[in-house]
Formats: sequence, structure tokens, C-alpha cells
Amino acid sequence: MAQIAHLIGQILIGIGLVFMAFGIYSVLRFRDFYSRVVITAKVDTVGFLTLIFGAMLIEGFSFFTLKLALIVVFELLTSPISTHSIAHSAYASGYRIRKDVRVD
Amino acid sequence: MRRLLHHISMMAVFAVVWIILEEQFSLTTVAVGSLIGLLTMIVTNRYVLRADYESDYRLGLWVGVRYVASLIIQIYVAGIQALIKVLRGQVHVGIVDVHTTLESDFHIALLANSITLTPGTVTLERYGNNLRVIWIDCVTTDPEVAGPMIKQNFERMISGGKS
Repeated sequence: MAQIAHLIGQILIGIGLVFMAFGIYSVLRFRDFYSRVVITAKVDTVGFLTLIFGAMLIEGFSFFTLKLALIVVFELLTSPISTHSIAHSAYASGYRIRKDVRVD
Repeated sequence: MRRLLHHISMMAVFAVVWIILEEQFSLTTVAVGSLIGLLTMIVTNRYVLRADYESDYRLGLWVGVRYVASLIIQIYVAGIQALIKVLRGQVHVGIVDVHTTLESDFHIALLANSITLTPGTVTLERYGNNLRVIWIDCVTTDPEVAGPMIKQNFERMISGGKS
């Protein structure tokens, strides 16, 4: 039973890393600043959460798992704030959406 | 009475966090955790906040738990949608204004956070009761139509959970 949980946990960590890799890929793919910000914020948060859930499954129920749950709560609070501050500073310094948003 | 209840529930939350960080459950950790929670609340109330503690952080415990659970589901929906967008490479970015009926600053901040985490939107700035939002597949710029699509049911959930 413990081995199955261990295996599923490792698979979840792998999925999280794949999500993060797609986040990096999306920065290179899109040309517009705002679409980069929106996409990377989502994909990175999902990757991080999946990684933490995988670590929780491997560890089982202990104080370590509860600490990871605390980390999830702080991530949910701080990740959107950092995204917001980056986007807001771009907007405040006069960056507007380009008309010719091309993707290649 | 209501005030006392609010303080006790906040103190319980602080004590639980303290026990988790201390990694042992005993009478001492519970006592020390509650004491530090009380001290934190007094210091925050007196020196940090301009208003009262419980009028600023009015969010029921049960509402908070349900909010986090539905937020995590929405984050996964958002992540998978974003992944599809990355692979197909089709975006149509626009900026929309959204009006909210929430009143306290803390609730508006929570709503802005959840808008940032949910599919395809990031909050840019706030003026009064309006939020300016980047929307990645901008169907319409009409605030009346875009509002419910962006906010989903988070506004109702934060304001008291009568759903």
C-alpha cells in the first residue's frame, strides 16, 4: 500500500515538473507581454501544487504533510500577488496591448 | 459576545499553525501557541491596522475552507486550459473593467487574488469598487456581460457563502 502511494506520488511530482516546463516554453512562445504573464502564472501555480501534493502522498500523514499544507496556503496567497504586481507595474509604466499580436 | 467568539477562533487558528511548526502536540505547545496568537492579534490591532482587527478580517472558518477547496479545483481547470492555449498558440488579449459589490478591502483583495488564479484572467488594478482585468480570450469588453464570466461564484462565496 505504501509502495503504491509512493509510486503515485512520484508520478504526481513528474506531472508537476512537466507543467513547469510548459510554463517556461510559453514564455518563449508568446510575443506579447500580457499573454506571457497570464499563461505563466497559471501553469506555474498548477505545477507547484501538483508537486507538493505528490510530496504529501509520499510522506503519508505526519507533521511534515501539515507543513506542506501550510506552504500550499501561503503559495495561494502570495503567487497571485507577485503576478499582479508584475502586471500592474507594466500597466502603470504605460505598456499597452499591441495590435499585431503574432504567435509563431 | 460575537467579538469574543471571533477572537477565540482566530486564536485557535494561530495555535494550530504553531503546533504544526513546533511538530509536537502537547499542553505546552497549545498554551504557547494560543499566547503567541493573542499577542500577535494585540500587536496587529494596536500598531499595524488602522481599523479594528475583526472588522478587517471578517471571513468565517468554514467559508475559508470551502473557498480554498473550490479555488484549488479552479486552479487545475485554469492550468489545463492554459496548457491547451500554449499548445495551440491562439490568444486574443483584452482589458476589461469588472464591477464588484463587495465592500471591505480584505474581501476585494481576496476576490482579486481569486480572479488572478482562475482561468485566463489577471487583475491589473483596482479603483474604488472596480477591478481592471486582463482577459486572455477577450470575447466582449462590456462590463455587464464580462463580470459574471470572470467572477464566477467567488463573490457570493466570499461575502458569506449563501449558495
